[in-house]
Amino acid sequence: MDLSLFLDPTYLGQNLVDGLSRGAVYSVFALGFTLIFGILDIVNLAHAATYMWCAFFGWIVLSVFGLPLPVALAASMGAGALVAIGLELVAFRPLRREGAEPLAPMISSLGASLILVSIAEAVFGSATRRFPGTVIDPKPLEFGGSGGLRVTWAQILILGVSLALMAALGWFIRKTRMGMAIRAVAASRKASQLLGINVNAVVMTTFAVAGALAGAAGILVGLMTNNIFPGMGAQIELRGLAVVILGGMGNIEGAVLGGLILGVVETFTIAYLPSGADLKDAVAFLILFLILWVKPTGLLGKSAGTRA
Amino acid sequence: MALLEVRDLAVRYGNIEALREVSFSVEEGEIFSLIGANGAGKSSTLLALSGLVRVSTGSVLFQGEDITGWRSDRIVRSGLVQVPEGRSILAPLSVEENLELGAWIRRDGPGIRTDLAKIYTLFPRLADRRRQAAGTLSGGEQQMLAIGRALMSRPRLLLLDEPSMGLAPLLINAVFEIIQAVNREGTTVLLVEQNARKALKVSRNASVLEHGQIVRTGRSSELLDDPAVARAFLG
Amino acid sequence: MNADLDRLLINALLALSAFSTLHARQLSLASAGFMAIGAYTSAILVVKAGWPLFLALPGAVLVCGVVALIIGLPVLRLNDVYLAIATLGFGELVRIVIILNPDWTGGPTGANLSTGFGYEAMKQTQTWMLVAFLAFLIYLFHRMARSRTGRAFRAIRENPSAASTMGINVVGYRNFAFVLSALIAGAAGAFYAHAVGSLDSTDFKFSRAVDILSYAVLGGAGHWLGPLLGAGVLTELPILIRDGVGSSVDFLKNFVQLPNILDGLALMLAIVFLPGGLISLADRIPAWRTRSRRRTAGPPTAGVVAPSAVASGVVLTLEDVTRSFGGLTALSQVSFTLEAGRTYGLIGPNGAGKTTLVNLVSGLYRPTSGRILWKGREIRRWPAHRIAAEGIARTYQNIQLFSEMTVLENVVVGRHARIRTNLVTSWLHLPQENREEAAARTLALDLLRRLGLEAVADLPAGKLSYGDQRRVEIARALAQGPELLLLDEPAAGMNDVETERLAAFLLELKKTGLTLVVIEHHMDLIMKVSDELLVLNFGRLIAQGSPDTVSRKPTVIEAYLGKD
Repeated sequence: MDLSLFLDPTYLGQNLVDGLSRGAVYSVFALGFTLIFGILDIVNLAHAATYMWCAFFGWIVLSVFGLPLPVALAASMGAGALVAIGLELVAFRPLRREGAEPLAPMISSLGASLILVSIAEAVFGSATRRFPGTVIDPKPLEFGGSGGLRVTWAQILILGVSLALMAALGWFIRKTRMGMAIRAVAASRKASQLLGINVNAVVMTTFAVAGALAGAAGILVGLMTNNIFPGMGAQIELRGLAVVILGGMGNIEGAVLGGLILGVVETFTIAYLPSGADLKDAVAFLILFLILWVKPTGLLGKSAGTRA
Repeated sequence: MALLEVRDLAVRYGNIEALREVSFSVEEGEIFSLIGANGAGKSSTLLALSGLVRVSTGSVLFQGEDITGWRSDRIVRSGLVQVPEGRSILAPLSVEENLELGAWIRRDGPGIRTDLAKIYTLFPRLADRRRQAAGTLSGGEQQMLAIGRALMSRPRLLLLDEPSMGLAPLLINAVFEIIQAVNREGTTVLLVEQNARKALKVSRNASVLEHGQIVRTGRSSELLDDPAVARAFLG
Repeated sequence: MNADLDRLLINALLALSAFSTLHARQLSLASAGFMAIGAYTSAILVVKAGWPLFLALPGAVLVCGVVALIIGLPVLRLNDVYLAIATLGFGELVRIVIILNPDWTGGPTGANLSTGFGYEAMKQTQTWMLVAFLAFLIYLFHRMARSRTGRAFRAIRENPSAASTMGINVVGYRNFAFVLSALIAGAAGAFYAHAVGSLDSTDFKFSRAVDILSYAVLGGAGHWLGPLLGAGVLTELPILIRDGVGSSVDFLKNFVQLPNILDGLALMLAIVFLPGGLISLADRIPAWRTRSRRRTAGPPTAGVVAPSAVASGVVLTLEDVTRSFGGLTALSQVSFTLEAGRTYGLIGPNGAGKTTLVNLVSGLYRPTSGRILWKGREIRRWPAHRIAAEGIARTYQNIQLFSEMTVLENVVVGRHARIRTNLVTSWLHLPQENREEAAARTLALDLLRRLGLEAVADLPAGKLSYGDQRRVEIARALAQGPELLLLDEPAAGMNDVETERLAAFLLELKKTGLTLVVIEHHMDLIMKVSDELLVLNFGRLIAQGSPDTVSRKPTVIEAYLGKD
């Protein structure tokens, strides 16, 4: 192990940048999970399948139709919203009747996820797809000459879009009428009904937002790894779960914080530990198990934006 | 014509009959009490009136319209608003946000702001705490918030489910004074209470629920002295 | 060797693995992970260590058991959602370990000829082995279903907290179910490895766990036959489709993902339209429904259930017991003692803390501070099932019967702690099990008779009227042979006649030396049966004494009727 690595500030800075950009994407994905959990107390295990389909959709828009990146991003988010609404109508709403099993929605989402992934495998096969090289300038920006900090346009875009989305979500939840309604339903469904809020409409809106976030994550991960295949959901699903458990289920700030932490820890693992590249996949699981053991409610617990 | 008319209301949970042939009516402008011991069916009645629970048989007429089977948000929009048992305030949201949500069904911005100011005048403690999370308020303050929130929708009929529950005696007096003040301003009140004496003292008419059935209806002043009422509570 | 039949049998084993945890009401997605561990362990033992199959298989199963014990302990403490997520994570972790250790497992290329896992050495499974093992498991599950253990699982599945107050060690049983599930999945994995002849880590990816779940959910987790049905349907259906319609439609012939899509559909449809699974349809067949009735009970005896040891003097002491939930104090500095053989009425308005008190004594909650002493021993840290076994029984304010089980079975569950036979005796089918079961049923029928319920003994408990259900709860609690019985609003929902009969029954119980605590709002009932009254208001004990004195106290009257 090269000890001098620990002392190199450029190396540290580089990994911080890489880690934050990776973590930002995890946060965007995890926010979708946490929104659904906050409002319905269920874990939507078809969230990753939504994300995967949106990644393919974006690839189609970019490769087959040759449209520019912003269009692909918007289309992907729209597709995600539609898929999520479909899931709510088919997999979740029928179970919201009296006396239904608490785990039934989760099981239903597993079934939906299996169907979605299997169809993708049948349609696209297992070969990976890549975004066309013309989408974004691959030449990195360099700061401080060669041997200094290198940041690719992809990373700038990923960080920028992620932060913008998170800020937009924060504004939506805290400053708009619908956002307040979402927080109300998350706090108490019964009280919200008694206020005249149409709970089903609010739930549907939440799903649409969560789905759009999954869609955005799909495009961003495509830019980051350039590796789109039907099984890509599994890796990010576990990371997403680790993030929401780390940050606290249903906690929006927690999802943001947890994602960034996971991204940085993963990157640092690759950078500083020998055979770190192999270990990086295990990082998410270790965090998951650790938190479940020690403090299952997560770092920030269920707090503002979720039920008391 | 009565503001609210309940006819032969029956509510079942599975094969358990919670309410059977419940009938009573509430006149416009009065405070009407529904009293009964724990488990008598008071909460089931209010759940049915607000559309949170399905009515098996019978009907509910509000302002002459049959609202039986209406979805809960539609009932609220028609002017029938409930302050549920245990307050059910939205704990993570601020006091002001809770009040704003009370006006969810309204679209008149200026009117809402005027009413908000009125509520703060009526409940100065809430004004002091307007930016605080509602969950940090004391029990009495939460009850004020719940009532204020319901008033923000300018209801025609206000349903109150056990407003005295869990409150110290001094606060109970304050709450009941507010209920009377609200009623004087023109809001009809249907009060469901376990504290029978207090409820009978503030209301004009009342019905007594026992085991899911109405066993007595009449003027509250007469019921206060009726031994049947005492029996329904103390056996 | 018939590959299709082997696949069907292995899926049947996997379905039983899922059944094991589901019928303890736990959603575990770990079966694929254990299947992988079993498969690779057996492959390594056979190929790298040169073990014969009949040693490698048990070896692989043993490894799975050990791993299950290690992760089970922390993970099974978690509640439902977190447990499912943790097991999901476990499955993926196993896959990563497999991929990262190519020297042992062949890594991402898989365990096949190119990585040193020769076909001849690997491919050893015979169909008869699978059939024999499956038959063996069916025997075990069948005997378990008819035993006290099976009954305990049914109770846990319907209502884990009520089961714990009947003396059932819910955590222990769930640990057992989890380990059993791992053992079966490990065996299935080992058989699979040697049936297919080579392994690939993608054989055990997450969709496998969902497939396994779909067998159990479609079939129904109420009975072991359910998952077998589910596995059968979901294994054969794609084959039928492919051979039938598929022979003329080209893309169906090579539609590899067809089984997965069918599994996913089965999951979604079953959970919405048939939550009990296919096996729940069997309840419509009378012969199936009455299968438990065909077991014998002995002749009626005249005795009443007497407490196992008649105590005297002080039996229960509470010292400064406080219980808070976050900011809310439900009970505050409550102290009192209960003497053997006396009947206490616990009264107070709604929200006063009466049920909280019962929950504390029966072990469902722990006090925030204070002490609870039962016959001199501190019990406040004891788990609920231990308290139940020690002689404290209770009923529930909102009825907590096992509504799908028959009335008789509900009461027999109460005997759980008093029956000595365990799973080993059941599996060995020893005669003492039949004896103890018959004795338990006799006693249960007796209790039902005394409460006027023998006519409904074979009905599902959920179908009874409110008043009847309350009496079944009382019978169930009495079946525990308690020394202290806590009744939480036993007369709620009863009419005057039923209340009269209940009062008479309680007075009969007093004569047996049982200590009774009755929470009630029916004042005439309370006054009739109580030797002493305890009054709670706002979490505090505001009065204690003889019924006459207490009911006249102004503070008590005020608490009920309200102040002017």
